[in-house]
Amino acid sequence: MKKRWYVMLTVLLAILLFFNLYMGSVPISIKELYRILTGQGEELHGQIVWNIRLPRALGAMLLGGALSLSGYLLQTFFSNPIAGPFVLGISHGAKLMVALTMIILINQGIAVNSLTLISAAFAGSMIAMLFILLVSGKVNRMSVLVICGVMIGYICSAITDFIVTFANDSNIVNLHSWSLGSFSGMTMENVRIITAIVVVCTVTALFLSKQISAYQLGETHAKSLGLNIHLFRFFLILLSGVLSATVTAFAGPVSFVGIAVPHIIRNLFKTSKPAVMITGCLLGGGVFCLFCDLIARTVFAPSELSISSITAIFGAPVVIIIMMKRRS
Amino acid sequence: MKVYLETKDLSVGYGRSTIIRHIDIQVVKGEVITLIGPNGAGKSTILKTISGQLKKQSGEVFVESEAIHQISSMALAKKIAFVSTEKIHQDMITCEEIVRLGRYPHTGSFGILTGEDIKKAEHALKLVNAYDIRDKDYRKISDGQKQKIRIAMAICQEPDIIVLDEPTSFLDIRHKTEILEILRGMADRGTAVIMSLHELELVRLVADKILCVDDGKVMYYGECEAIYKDDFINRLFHVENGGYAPKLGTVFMKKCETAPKVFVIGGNGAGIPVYMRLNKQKIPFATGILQENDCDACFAREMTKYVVCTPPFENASDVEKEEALKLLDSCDKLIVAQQHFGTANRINESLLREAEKRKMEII
Repeated sequence: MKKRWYVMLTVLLAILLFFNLYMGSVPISIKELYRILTGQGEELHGQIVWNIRLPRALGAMLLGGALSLSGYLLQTFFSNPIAGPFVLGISHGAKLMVALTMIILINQGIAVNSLTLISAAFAGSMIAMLFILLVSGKVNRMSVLVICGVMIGYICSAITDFIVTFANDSNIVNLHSWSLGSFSGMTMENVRIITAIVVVCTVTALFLSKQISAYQLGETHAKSLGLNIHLFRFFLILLSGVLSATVTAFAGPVSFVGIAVPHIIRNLFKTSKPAVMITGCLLGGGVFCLFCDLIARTVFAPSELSISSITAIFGAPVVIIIMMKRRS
Repeated sequence: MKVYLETKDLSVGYGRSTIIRHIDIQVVKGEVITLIGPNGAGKSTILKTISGQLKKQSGEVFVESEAIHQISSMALAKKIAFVSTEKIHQDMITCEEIVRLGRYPHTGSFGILTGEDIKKAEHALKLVNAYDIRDKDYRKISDGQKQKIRIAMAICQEPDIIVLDEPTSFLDIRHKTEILEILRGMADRGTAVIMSLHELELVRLVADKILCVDDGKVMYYGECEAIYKDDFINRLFHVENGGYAPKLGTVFMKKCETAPKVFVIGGNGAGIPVYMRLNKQKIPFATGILQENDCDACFAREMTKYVVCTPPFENASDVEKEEALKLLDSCDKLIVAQQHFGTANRINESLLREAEKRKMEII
């Protein structure tokens, strides 16, 4: 049963990966794609596939997985099925810090590297998280938490817009499209860094799966079973923060993936076993983001839609469904 | 017997506010200790503190002579299991998966279960009579079944002490007794059971020792039966009229103390349903002539102060007859709960005749 879904997701991932390489504003035939991938083929098309489409597809896949995993960990943390880096404003906090860092560094003529961006995004995530934690310490209601998160998101977005508007540099054009969320402009160098972070985080999460399973029962039950709650929570926050910061640093804030994918995975696999959820979210997030990015790139080609608009169309209804289910 | 858990001048509470001070108890393996006391007296706070869920405020909790805060959380989980009333919100989790999580302190860093762990979970499920629902989604079973699963998880943990916060609240009578049977069984197999209960009639069935708390202090700590004497329980719970009747093991509403309007001829338990109905409707009544050892007399005394009784196995004397007649005079209705009067009950038959003479309404 579970194996079947793993196979299914992997097959889907492969198919979508293929389509993401195959489709685009420059038509490349299947034959040619094959030749390019085997190291032959035309120079220009080769460049398009190797330097643009492949890193973008791989980036979307890995970041999608990272987002879903981050969402899953946050849902575990708050025992709240609609928690996620986007609705809790964590992505926006990261976005704000990244925009700020970029502008300051560009103005001073310093080149911006990925690690600086990730660190800035991580700092931003943690600041937003701190606010959410303060709120959840006072009221731990699902709706209140999400509303606060959305508000924090709006505030961060507003400040980001403010900064972007007043910064006068041609690089800001990039910043603008990035701040809406996009997988464009991904390089193989980026993909390498993303891979490293995602692998480390996934392995760490798998190491925490025993603790997660106890924590899911609720605080007192987990404590009775011998879980060190404070230490565990610290790791959970750290892990989800690093993951969502990485995503925001490279692709801007991407909406709803963190909520929709864990929910779908849980319902497909019919289990809440952490190890299954972690691996399932990774695969499912990849599939979801590859699919959404494909649409974002191709439907109105050559102009591109922001990734968040597409993920919202497919992801937001899932949130509504969860809310309705909770009511009944 | 060796003391397993001990508190020394323990004070418990939340944050800066202390709820109960000077708690000194000793727990031996294999005994059931029950906490009773009014709502908000601090029973849960004590339970949480002695199970390591909550930090003590002062004093000390010792488990096997070791201060509880010096024991690592994993090591403590092997000694004490706390069954809380906290709801489990997780969906897509089966009962068996929850029970197996009880092995948490015993498994390795990935939580992989050995064949023995799986057997122990199975055994725990069977102990609580929940083996047949093991594959069900936890969220879809009844409250009683949920409680059994939570207890099974604690059993699976193989603790020396199991601590439970109101394990029987909100459950139906079948699940209440079933759960207490399970807990008593655990105690008999050598686990100490510490729990809070609100049902005083159930406390008596399972408890070896009682800890009564109220008003920021321990009111009583000792043998179970001692609290069922006199009006100890009513004083503990601040009940002035009605309340718990220790002899009958049940609770009553307030007595009607105004002059009686209805006279009931009872006897042999036949009067009880009548008394109950009158008490419910707040109609003051008198009853007689009963023998002191008749169950009707015991019940009637909890509901009215006008009960005419003879000493056990004695016939009524003129004194009692006169008293009954006087009460009969003040009433305007007579209810005869007896189908017919036995030979030893001529006295009540004569009361009926008197009532007929007085043209009272007779039912």
